[in-house]
Amino acid sequence: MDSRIVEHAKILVDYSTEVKRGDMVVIQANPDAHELAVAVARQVAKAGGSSVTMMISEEIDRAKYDGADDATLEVFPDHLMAMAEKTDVYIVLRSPVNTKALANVDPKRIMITAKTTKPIFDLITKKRWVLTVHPSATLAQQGNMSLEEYRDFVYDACLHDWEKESKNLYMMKEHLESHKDIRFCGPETDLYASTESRIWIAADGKFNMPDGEVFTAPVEDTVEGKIYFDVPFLEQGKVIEGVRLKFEKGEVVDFSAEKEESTLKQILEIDDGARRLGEMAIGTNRGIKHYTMNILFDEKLGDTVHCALGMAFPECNGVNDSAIHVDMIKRMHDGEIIAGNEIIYSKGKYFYEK
Amino acid sequence: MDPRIEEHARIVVEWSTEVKKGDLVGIRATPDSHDFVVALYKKIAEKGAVPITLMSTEEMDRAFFDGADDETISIAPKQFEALLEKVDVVIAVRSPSNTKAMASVDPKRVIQRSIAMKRVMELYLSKRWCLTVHPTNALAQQADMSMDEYQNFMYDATLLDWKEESKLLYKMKDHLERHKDIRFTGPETDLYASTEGRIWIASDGKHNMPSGEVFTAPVEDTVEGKIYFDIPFLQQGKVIEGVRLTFEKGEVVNFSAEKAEATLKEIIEVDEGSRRLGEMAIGTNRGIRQYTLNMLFDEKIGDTVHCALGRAYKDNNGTNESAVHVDMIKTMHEGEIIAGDELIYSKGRYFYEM
Repeated sequence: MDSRIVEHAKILVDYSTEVKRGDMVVIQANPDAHELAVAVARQVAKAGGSSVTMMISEEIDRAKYDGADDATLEVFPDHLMAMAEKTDVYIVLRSPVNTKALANVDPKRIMITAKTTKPIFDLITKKRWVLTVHPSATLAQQGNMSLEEYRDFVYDACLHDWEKESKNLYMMKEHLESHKDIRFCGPETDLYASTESRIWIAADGKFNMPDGEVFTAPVEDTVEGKIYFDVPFLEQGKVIEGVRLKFEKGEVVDFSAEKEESTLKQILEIDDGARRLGEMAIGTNRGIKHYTMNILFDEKLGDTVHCALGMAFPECNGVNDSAIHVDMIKRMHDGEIIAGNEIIYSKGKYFYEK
Repeated sequence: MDPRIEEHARIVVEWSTEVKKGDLVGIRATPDSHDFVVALYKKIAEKGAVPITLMSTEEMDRAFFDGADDETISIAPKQFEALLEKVDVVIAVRSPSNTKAMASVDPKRVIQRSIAMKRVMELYLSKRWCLTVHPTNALAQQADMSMDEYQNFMYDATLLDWKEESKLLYKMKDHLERHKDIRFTGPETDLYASTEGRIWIASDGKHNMPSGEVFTAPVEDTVEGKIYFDIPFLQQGKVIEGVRLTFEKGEVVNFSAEKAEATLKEIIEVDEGSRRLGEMAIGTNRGIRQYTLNMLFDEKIGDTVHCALGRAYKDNNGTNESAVHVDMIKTMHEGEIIAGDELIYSKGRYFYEM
C-alpha cells in the first residue's frame, strides 16, 4: 500500500476524530475508496475502536431514485438512525466513480430525500465526524490531471503537521477576534465588513481533510465596497469565472462575470439572502498548489480569501438565511487583509510569518 | 448493465427475501459487487423499501485483525447490532477480491472475534436473510475459469424458475417424510440411516441463492454402511479428494482419501461429533454444471447426494454437536436413492421425472 494512504488514515483517525478504545465508528466509503477504508479500519482497530463500513455511491443513489416513488423517498430509514444513535465517530471517504450520475434526477426529489434524512444528518453532525477525499480517476479528470498527479495533489494538501497548523489557525482566530471588523484589499478590491460579536472559526482539520481556513459570518448589513474573485468555481454544473461584486449596506448592487454571468445572476436572484454575504474567510493551506474546482480544496488554498453568497453558519453567530451557499475565491498575493488596525496578511505573508 | 444482473436482483428481492413496502433492508457487499448493489437498490426501491449497504471485504477484515489487540477484538460492535435490530431483511453478497486475505490470521483470534460477533450473527439469522454470490475474478480463478465462463456458470445456476423448483423440492420433502429411513447406493456405496422423527428441509432459494437441495439430519447412531465421495472439496485450505467412509452404529470406523488423507484424519478427530454425520442431503440444481470447490454451489449440483461430518441443524431435529460441519459430495448418475420402499432417484431421474 502507498505509505501516504497509511499516513492519511492516521491523520483521520488519530488527529481529526481522535478515536479511542471502545469508540463505535462508522466509515462511509465509495467503492473506489476501498484501499483507504482498509487503512482506516486498521488504524481504528489500533486505537481500540470498532468500525463498520457503509458502501455508498452516486450510482447506488441514482438507482434508488430510479426505482422509488415519492412516498418511498419519504420512508424514514430507522435502521440508519438506530446505527447513528450508537455511533461515536463518522469518517466519510469520498472517491466518486461518476460525479454526474445524479445529473438527470429532479432536484425536487433530491430535496425530499434530504428532508427525510435530516434528523440523521443532524445527529451525525453532532458527533465527531470528518469528511475527506481519496484520489479517484473521476476526481483527477475533474481537476484536469492524471491520476498520479492528482494523488500528489491530494497528499500535498492533506499530509501536514496538523497540530502545528492548528496553532497558527487559532492564533489567527484570536487576532481576528480582538478586532471588530475585517477588510480585504487588492487589485479592483476593497471590501469591508463589521464582525462585531461574530465568531471566527479555525478550521484545523477536525471536520474536513484537507483543511486550513479561518471563517466568520459578517454582520449582514455592514458589507461595503467591491471585490474581484479571480479563481473560477463550479456552480450548477457551470464554471463561473472572473466575478466582480459591489456591495452597499450589505447588498449586492452591481455584479458581473467574465464567464457565465447569467448563472451568477440566477444565483443572486434565488432569494433575499442570496444577495448578501453569509461568510468571509481566509485560506491558509499552502500544500494546495492550485485550484481544481472542488470547493473542499479550493476554499482552503493558501494566500487566498473567499466569500460566500447566501446562508451563514449559526456557529459563527451568522443570521443570513438562504437556500444557497456559494463560495467565491480571490488570490491575495497582491492584496492585504486588515482587521481593525492590524495587518493580518500582506505581501504574501500572514502576520505570524513576519 | 448485463441484464442477468438485474434478473438476479429481481430473484433475490422478490423470491428469496420477498421485500415489501416499508421494509428496511441491510445489504452486505464488496466494491466488486457494486453493479449488483445498484440493481438491488432499484428493485428494492420499486417495492417501496429502504436499503442501506455495508462494505465488508476480506482485506478490511484482515486490517482489523492486524490493528486490533485482544481487548479490541472482544468489543462487540454496538452500532452494527443497533442497525440489524431495526432491519427486516438481510442480503449478503459474496464477491471477494481476494479469498486468501485472511490466510495468515491466527484462527484463535478469528474464533475470539466470532464470540464478540455472536449477537450480530443471531440477529442476521432472525431476519429474512439470503446469501448469494456476485461473480468476481477471485471466484473465477478459484473455479479455474475465465470471468466470462464463471459468469455463465453462476447465472445458469441462479436464474431459474424458483417457483417451479420449489414445487418439486417440496414434493420431494413430502415423499421423504412419508418414510422412516434413507439409503444411498451406487459404486462402492451402500449407506443407510434412520430418519425417524427428523425433518427434511426443502432448500428452495430463500436463504441461499443459488439453492436446490433437500436435507435432513440422520438419527445419529443409525448410520450404517459405506460411501465413496467422488467430488473434491476444499477444507482448511486443502483440496480433499476421493473420500471413502465406513460407518458402524453411526460412527466412522474406517476412512481413506485419495488426496489429503491427513487432513481428513484431522477433521474426523476434531471431536466426538466429527465422527458422525450431521447431515444427509440430495442436490437437485441441474443448472450447476460442474463443481468449483465452492460449497454454496457444489452441494446443490443436480444428480448428487452429500453428507456432512459434524454439526447437525436443529431445524432438522438433529442433535449431533461438533465444532465442524464438513460437506462431502457424491455423483449419483450410477446410483440410487431409496426412502423406505420408494425409489426417490434412479438412473439419472428423480421420482417425479420417472
